[in-house]
Amino acid sequence: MLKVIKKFFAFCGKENRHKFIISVWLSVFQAVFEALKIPAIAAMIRALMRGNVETTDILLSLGIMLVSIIGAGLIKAKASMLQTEGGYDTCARKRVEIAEHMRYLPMGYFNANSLGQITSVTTNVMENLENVATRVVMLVCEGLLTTSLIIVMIAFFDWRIALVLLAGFALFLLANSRLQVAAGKLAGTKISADEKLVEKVLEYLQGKLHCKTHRRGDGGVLLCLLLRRQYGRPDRCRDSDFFLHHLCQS
Amino acid sequence: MDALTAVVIVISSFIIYASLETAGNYSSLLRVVDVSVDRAQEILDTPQMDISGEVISPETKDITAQDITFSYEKRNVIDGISLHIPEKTTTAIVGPSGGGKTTLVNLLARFWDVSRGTVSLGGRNVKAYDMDSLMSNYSFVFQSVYLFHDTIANNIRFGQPDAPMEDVIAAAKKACCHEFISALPDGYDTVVGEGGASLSGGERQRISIARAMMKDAPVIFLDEATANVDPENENELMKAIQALTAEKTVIMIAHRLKTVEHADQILVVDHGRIVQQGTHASLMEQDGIYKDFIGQRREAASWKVKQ
Repeated sequence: MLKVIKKFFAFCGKENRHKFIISVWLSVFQAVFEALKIPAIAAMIRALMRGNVETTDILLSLGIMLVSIIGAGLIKAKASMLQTEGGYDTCARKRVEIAEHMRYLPMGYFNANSLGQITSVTTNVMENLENVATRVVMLVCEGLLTTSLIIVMIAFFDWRIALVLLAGFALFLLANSRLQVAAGKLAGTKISADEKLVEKVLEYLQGKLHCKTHRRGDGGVLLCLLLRRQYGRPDRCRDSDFFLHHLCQS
Repeated sequence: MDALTAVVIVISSFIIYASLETAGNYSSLLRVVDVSVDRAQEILDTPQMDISGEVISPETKDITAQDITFSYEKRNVIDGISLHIPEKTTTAIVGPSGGGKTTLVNLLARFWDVSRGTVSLGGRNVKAYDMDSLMSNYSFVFQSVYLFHDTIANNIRFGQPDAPMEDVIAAAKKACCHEFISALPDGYDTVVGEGGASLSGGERQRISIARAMMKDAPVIFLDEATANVDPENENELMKAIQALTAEKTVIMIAHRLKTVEHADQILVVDHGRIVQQGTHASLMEQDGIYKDFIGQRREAASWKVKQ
């Protein structure tokens, strides 16, 4: 997990890495504000257990909650902005970098690699990195950091509580490591499937005249695959000829 | 442990594990992030051609190839070719299909690097040039023209985005495409479809020639530029090519008799080697591929439909 996060930060470049790191540190402060809910709740519970809830107890609890919510909200907004900027800028630069790099590749590269594969990297993959990856990496970092810091803060309050929470955290990490192994087996398949899909769509569109004149079942089969993937409606596959006709007419 | 502590443990666990739960939900996607980064990085890690060179303005524009060899998938596509193309002359490359004509042109233009030997422009190895500096000396007109999804004017000024409209129109006139462009409802602001789908082959080709003219490079590569031309456009296209290639070093792959017979030198390429070399007149005196090539074309030109 940490290896992937480190790889992503290296991929982003210095400037955007700086933005992401600031965003992560902001999440530290956000964690402090989030943790304020615990003393707010503790204050109310103490008052209830005392059997005498006074106005000061209520105001104290509400005051802490308000500070917690506002503080966390403001920091979260700033952190989200930085993440969005960082993600967008990273991928914009990388697309330009890839285009520039491809300008000086020997022409044999484009014979050896399919247009679909290259297109998929500059579209699907980069979109994954821009939208999904930024969110994922930040949420995972925030989750781990927030939890760690709250446990440390609680340790000052009561070490037994901290110990119990630490045990839960350790269980989470263990479960997560198994999850990573399972997800790792599928991740490569997913990306390859995306590449194949783009490749086939481009091939179909580039050869649309041939599909139209030859009316091969291949076009229908491809459409079935596209429809299944996009709409999840296998019943439409029986109308594959209709869709082939419709696509060629449009 | 008192009751307060126990209640605080329970409540704080909800708060703490909320963020941990979010992290857990999304952490499975980290593997997709991992693979995505690897895929993007794969392209960036692909070795480029050696583009480190100097910005050179060659004094002469002659092209020389010295014993060049090029292999592709363990097959020698070009095998020990040496040639010299003096500046401001026209060289036609002819030969059977699959003989290596396009590969030879690609090597002379440094689209690929030779496996052995050297290619020079103006007496300097092409590898000594900075890539952009080398390409600034070349213009290309390909058989298959690609126009971008943009206005005709922007397609013509593709290599020089800041060129004024007057220059664009002047290039279009020389390329014999000004008339048909002006006849379009939006004229030069007409947006051509992706790949230039809204224009005919001949019209696209002439716009491509106008684009090459805008660049005004001293060396012109024509790769079967007239192959897909219909008879209606042929005259206009030939005029455009003549205007483009005047006073330039021209290397062309050609199949048409009209184009080839006026070349200053003709190279006949077969199986990756130059098998014949000379002018049209000298090659017609020898038995060989060229004589057969001309004979076939003359025979084809004389075919008529019986009525």
